[in-house]
Amino acid sequence: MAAGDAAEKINDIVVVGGGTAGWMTAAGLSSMLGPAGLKVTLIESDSIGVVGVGEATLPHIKLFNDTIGVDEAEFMSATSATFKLGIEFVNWGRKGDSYIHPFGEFGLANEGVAFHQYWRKFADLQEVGQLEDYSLPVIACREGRFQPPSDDPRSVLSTYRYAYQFDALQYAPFMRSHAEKRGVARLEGKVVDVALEGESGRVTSLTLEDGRTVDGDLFIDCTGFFGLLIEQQLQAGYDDWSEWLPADRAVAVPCESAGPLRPYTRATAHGAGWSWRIPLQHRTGNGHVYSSQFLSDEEACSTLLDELEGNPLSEPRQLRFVTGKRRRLWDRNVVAIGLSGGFLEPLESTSIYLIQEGISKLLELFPDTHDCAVERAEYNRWMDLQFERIRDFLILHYHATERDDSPFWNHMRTMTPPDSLRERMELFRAHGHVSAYEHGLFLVPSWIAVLIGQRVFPRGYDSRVDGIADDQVLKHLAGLKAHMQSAAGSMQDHAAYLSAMTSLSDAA
Amino acid sequence: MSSERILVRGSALPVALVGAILARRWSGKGKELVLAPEREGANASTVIARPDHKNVHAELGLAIESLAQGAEAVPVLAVATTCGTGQVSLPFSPYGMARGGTDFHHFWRRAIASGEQPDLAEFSLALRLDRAGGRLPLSTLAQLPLEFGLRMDRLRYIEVLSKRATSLGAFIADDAGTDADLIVDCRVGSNRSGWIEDRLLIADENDIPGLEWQICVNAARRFLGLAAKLSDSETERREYSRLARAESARIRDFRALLRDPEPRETEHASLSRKIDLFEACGRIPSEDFEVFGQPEWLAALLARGIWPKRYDRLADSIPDKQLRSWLSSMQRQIGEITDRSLRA
Repeated sequence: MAAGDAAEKINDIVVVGGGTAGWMTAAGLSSMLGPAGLKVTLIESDSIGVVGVGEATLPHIKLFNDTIGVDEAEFMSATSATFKLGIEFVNWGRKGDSYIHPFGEFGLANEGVAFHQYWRKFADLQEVGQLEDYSLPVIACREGRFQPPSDDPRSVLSTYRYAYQFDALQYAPFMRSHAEKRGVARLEGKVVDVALEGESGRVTSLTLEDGRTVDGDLFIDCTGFFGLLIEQQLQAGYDDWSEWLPADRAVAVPCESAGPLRPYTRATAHGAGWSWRIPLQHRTGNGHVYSSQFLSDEEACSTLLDELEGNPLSEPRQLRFVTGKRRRLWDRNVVAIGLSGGFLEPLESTSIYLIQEGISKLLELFPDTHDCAVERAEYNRWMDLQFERIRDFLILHYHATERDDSPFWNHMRTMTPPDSLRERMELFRAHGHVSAYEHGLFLVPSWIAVLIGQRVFPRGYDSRVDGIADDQVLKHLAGLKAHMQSAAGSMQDHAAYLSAMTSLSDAA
Repeated sequence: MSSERILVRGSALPVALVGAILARRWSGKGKELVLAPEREGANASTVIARPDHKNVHAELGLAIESLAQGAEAVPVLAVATTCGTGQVSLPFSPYGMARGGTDFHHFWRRAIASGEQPDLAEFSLALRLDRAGGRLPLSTLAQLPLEFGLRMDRLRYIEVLSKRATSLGAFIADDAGTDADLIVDCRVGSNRSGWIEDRLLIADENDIPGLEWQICVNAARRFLGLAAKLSDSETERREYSRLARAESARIRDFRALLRDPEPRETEHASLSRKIDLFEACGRIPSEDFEVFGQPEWLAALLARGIWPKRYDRLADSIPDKQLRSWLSSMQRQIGEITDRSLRA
């Protein structure tokens, strides 16, 4: 059935594009709505390359995988994945600095006062150490350890979550196999024409290079930056955020693995951007994100190649992007998921999260008929909120810096941030309190990790800290630090854990 | 003044509740907390504590059993209030059981679409027990998957809280003057709230059962979450007021839904969104800092005649026959639990 009558039921979904976003969407929709009678078709062309977004992920992906019934060991094996407990940021606050944004909290709140407030009072004392000395996932990252969190809420080993680092080029085929088992039909072909219905402007069918026509009720645009349907046809518009996030290019290259298998991603700041390093089982993913206003492509490539830990495995690949989001992620009967919906640099591994959020929200609001303006408006509002809150968190990394060693950093340090971020930073600077929200990806511990990690040091602290005798607080801090250290020491070696898990899966 | 002094004044219950929470978490060296409650009216009757009471009272070291004794606390599974179309019962627990992440009312709506006429309230254990009118012993309630509040004797609850506040270091004074670094004005019943200079105003209409209690708890927590040196708390004051405004907006929306003659004509986008989306597909969008739970919103929307045109597509994932059998078995089980619980 084509997208004609507004009252006709929506049953035929066409996903255009078969990268990470396309196959995740197809797998998500077929797993959840297949039993309700939905038919999902995915069109992809082997002649169009995929960006392979998001080799590093956030803990939420586990929920997605669990929901659609993915077996973890099978997934780890198929995608050469490693475990991830956080992201290390090098050279961000100042050159030479390093901190980890962990997937877990710092210390333990006491008498209703957040842990970092006690730490702040005594942070100048050498024996108190860094805030990250009180984070189990950070210590585990530094020591190369990993094991799944304990189910016992009383154990300190239950105070973290984990994500994965995987080969995105292997993840899409893995999702494809999952989706096809659930009835998704794959069509090989390149879309050469898009038919729109006159009055409503809805997409009714796609024509492939070989002349085949594919009808559908709802179209999911997963065609990457190009936005074949959402932009080229529907012209949904784009909010450009390069005023705050001016990086507009990336160069990526995989290299041979070298050194220990780390359970974290590294983001190292450079003169006009930053580089990523993502350790996988079989190789390391590397890339350099930079602003072309401040750095040439050649310099960016050379910086990246100079810091590789192993021999490059291919020629470097360039990407160009404009940071921002589609003005209407759901327009008429087209929903943009993945890079077609917007791009935020992968500094906090948010790309796959945003795909996942797009799928979940679409499932929640899945329309019955084309008469779905309210569902569409709610989807767009929700996704806008997600994008904007992540945007502020990313800007924080650039703006909260003391770096003055390049025109790029001078620009980032002195720019005017969005009001929402400025107010947040002011509040934290005063007494270390973090402005909270409920609907957003990064919650209080994440803000604390980056703010403290980048030297946004509160002038004061929660006045209730003074209600407890200094020696008592110091004793508590020392005990907690030792406890965290000892708990991390009891965890398994990341590489050994992974090897045992994947060899068991392969044997099965 | 080297130490810091907070004066909490106003209506007796808010003063005692806010005072006890502050005494628990804002006390010790260099801190003085003075409570100056007004005399409670002679006709003061009961107070409802919403389900959050479990956390609040646990933190204050007040066991439910001791509240049962000291303040005549009895469990409350739903509260009744007036709305534009009469009376509505607002349950604290979800209707039915969610399935595969989809709320129960979508399955119920699907049954209606197939021509059946089940009453949603029949699938609410909370409402069934509430309507049956029996008093459930706390031991029975603890075994049921239900959120519950507490109905307490107002004067005795004030007494319990005041006693707890003083045991935690607060002072009670009849005439405390106005010499304080911060004056917390508890005026539930008026409509101005926020933290302006040295005044922290805790206020809202007290026209929905349990609201007065929750507003006081939220305000005290909000203040504690932003605790700083009182003489140097300008940014915290702004943040407190921002959060208080957000809370007021959530309450305003709920009240408008209940009581406005034409809630659909609201000028507030957040309420329009709830009404429109619920009507379109049965989903109730959530904002930051909601005060009322989804089951309460659902009850209020239905009571105002706002009806979902369709159910969630995810509710189509089970065949008709299985749906009918699931619904009837759930209805039967709820009936049996209700009978058993009331006999216990």
